[in-house]
Amino acid sequence: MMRRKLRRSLLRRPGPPAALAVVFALAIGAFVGIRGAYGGIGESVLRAYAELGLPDLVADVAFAPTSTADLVAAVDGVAAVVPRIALDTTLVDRPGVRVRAVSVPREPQALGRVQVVRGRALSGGPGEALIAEAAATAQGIEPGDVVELRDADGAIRALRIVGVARQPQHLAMIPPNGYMSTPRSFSVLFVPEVEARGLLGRSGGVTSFDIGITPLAAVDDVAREVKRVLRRYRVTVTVGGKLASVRNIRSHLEALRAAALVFPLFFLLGGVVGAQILLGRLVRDERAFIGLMRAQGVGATVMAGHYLAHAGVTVVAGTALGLPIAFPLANAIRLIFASDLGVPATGAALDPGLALAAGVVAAGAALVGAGRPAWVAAQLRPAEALRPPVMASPGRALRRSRECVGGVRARLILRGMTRNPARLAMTAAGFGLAVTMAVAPAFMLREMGRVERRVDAVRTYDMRAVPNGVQGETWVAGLAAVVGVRAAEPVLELPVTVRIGAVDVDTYVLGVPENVRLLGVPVPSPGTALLADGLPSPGSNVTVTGPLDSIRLEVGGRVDYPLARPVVVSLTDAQRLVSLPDSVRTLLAGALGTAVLGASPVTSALLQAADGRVDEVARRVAALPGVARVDTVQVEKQDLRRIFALSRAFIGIIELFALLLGAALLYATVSVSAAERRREFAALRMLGMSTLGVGGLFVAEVAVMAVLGWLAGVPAGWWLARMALGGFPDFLPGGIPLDPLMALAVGGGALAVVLAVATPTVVALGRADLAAVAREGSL
Amino acid sequence: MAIDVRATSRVYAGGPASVHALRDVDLAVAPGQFVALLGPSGSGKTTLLNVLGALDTPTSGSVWVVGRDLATMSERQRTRYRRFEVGFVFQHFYLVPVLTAEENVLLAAGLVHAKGDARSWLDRVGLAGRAHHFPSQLSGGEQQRVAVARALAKRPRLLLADEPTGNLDTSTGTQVLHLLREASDGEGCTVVMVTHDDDLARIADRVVRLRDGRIVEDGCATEAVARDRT
Repeated sequence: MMRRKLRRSLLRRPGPPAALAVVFALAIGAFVGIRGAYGGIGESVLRAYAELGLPDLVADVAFAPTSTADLVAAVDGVAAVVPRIALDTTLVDRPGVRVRAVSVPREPQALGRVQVVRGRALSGGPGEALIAEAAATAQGIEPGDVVELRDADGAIRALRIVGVARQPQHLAMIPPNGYMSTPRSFSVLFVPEVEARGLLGRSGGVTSFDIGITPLAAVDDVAREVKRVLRRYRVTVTVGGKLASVRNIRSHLEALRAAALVFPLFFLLGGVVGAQILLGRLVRDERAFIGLMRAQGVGATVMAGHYLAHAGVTVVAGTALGLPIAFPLANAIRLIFASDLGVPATGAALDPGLALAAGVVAAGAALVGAGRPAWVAAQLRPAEALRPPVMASPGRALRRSRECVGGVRARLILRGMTRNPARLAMTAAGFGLAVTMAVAPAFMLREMGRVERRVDAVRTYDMRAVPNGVQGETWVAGLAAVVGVRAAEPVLELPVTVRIGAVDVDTYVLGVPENVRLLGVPVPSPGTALLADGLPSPGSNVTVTGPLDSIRLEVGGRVDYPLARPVVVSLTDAQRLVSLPDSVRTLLAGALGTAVLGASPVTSALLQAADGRVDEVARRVAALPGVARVDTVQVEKQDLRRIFALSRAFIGIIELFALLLGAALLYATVSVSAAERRREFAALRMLGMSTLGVGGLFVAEVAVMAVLGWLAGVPAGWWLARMALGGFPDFLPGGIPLDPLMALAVGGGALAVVLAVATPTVVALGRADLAAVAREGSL
Repeated sequence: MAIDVRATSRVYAGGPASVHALRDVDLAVAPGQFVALLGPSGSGKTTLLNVLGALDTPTSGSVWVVGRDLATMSERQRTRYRRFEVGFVFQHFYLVPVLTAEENVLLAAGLVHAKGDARSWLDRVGLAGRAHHFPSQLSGGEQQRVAVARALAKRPRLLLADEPTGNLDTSTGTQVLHLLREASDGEGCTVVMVTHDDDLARIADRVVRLRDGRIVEDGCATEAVARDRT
């Protein structure tokens, strides 16, 4: 009998339970989908690292004799060493595309193995190359294509692509000093050693070592010893896990893992709140039924079980709806990440264990939500339940609001909301959750748009020319004389350690000339520094330590610098960090070369080309001796747009889920709210109040609730978005500002959704059978 | 006539189990008359009251009240009719629980922009001292008196009362009946009251008895009640 009653209860007013089932479906779909995608991608990345041998350490040197590999191998704790030659250059036929050519030893490698996924392996002879999979996909390069590279001497060398490959150090295409995977503008080519030597123009040496350590060795100790052994070759040792590509992939996976946890958690919270509201009001509505059943001898446990079964049915329906959503979601996320990060794309499969876990967690959430109403139903005494419900004595807040500003209708709205503080809190929580879920992805999307606009505003140059080694300002003057170049400005970028307060931060310094026009940043006066957003809060001074000197600068303020967090200083201050005193310079000039020790060194030149001549000028500048590469801003921006497009797709999916969940939760809350007060509203209509008038009262109430939810949801959503993007401190260093306009827009949107979901309820109020209500009990 | 009901039926459709709540009812009530609708449960008296109050629509026939044909009114017109012409007093009071006694009266008066002080209406029903109390702080009799004050505050031409003393003890019920009588006598209101208690019907000018949806008796209250007793 109770089963029949349960079925009829659900069918009598199917909207709210259906909406709750949708909430659970979205939670289960999001959890299984995102978690499944994370599991699949994470597993395939780890497998790739294990199968292909990700080095524990990578030691980069300027140039060291091949025999130094034996020195490294002799370090205590080192198990394997693979010496390599790497050269950063550009593709001649694709302006703006940077290339890192990495040598592949002829013999099988213990570490950093190259796995050919299309085409064939290298034969070992010159003129051949493999291209990294992510770059091949992004740039449309296939086996059989020929690419032209500029070697270290500026000569052009043609290489035939014989295959597409992946290597654990270079799954994601992160250029040197870069933060983002930019496979459209950065490629990794794997070339035979003989070809690498040809490109470098030097023989008998190497530029890096892939190092594997023994299982019991401490990475830091080995790194320290390797550094000591290779010190004279200007060595930089990087732990395998901190290689740019690995770090980037891990950041994304971490963000995906967090998303797989946080978003479904919020969705489930929505389910808890929804179940509590729905069941709480159902129990209040069915007091007489409960009293009757209890009077007829139905036990408290059966009564509680009946209402828990309500929640159980919604979870079962939610699971049935959610699991079919999960699989395409996991697949979509997997494709987005595989394409974005260059990780192996493994097929997504629905993990039965995960699905079961999701179902169990959702059931747990539903039981938590339904627990209290079920307990209340079980505790109701028959006589009490059978008495017509009487409104409890008004609380203090209600009595105080007696003299509130506004007419009777305003009091009706205010007291209608506040008469049951628990209900008000639950409803506002439901609204707040809906807003939180909708606002967090919106903030993330907005931040991406802001960064894109900021990049446009800052990078006002057409291209950036990077020299071979450090050059002087005269080199920039030479570039300015190239046909088609309208303006050329020097900049100096150096890795530095900045002491801000008591904190040392590894970042880079950006030195800009006083009259800079091609970089949209404020120019600090000499002696002062501008700290990019994302760096710690400054005191009044910072100490910047560069390769050759350390200077103390006054903090001139903050600068909103996109995609990085440099310390912006004047060019002259930056040059002090790499300049030797004149006497020392004179002494060393003969040994190291004047360019390195020049009086006014620069690391790149920003160029502006005449209208419509960017590609032509880029080719011309790239062909100049001393120019290592030319990066065009157009390609950089295309890369950024592509990366953001993929991120947007992922966040967009979350946003879609959040909006559906928000609407479902709001609908359930609003319709249950209206159903609970059906008789009260009908009484007002019997008095002669129009449907519009009654609907207005109801809409005003839910609108106030929506405002309360908005007040709680916007900060919560902001926090959630900051947390979600917090995994990318280099990528999005400025955090997410709490934009009032955005908050207002979200509030407007939430209000619109509330009005939209309230409309059918108001229509139902208008159609209520007044005669039937008149025959019912008290309000 | 204040009320002119002709050949009115109300059928609640339910397939073969349709319920004929009213069957060809004819009823005319003069302005200011106090009519009691008597009858056993299921006789159709509340349905007739609901039809007169435009809470329900007849399946057939015509229902003219204060010069308006309720059977052909739009929903908007029915709302306006309820607002300006009718005052309701229900068995379960239907006071708005979050409004005080005074505010309940003010709400109704505000709907018709009626002049007059809500407090004076409460005074007339003997509740001036309870104006700031919420319904839950009032006894059943007090709540029903507030309901009467609320109904009268709109200065309706028709006052419809459905078992107004059903939830009250005898003494309190008598007080409420006297208020309805005063409304009829003092305000010139046409009052139609549903009851199943012959003794209460005695206060009316006229008793209309229904059975199975038909009017089976229509006459002077005292005569009708006396006849029923014999």
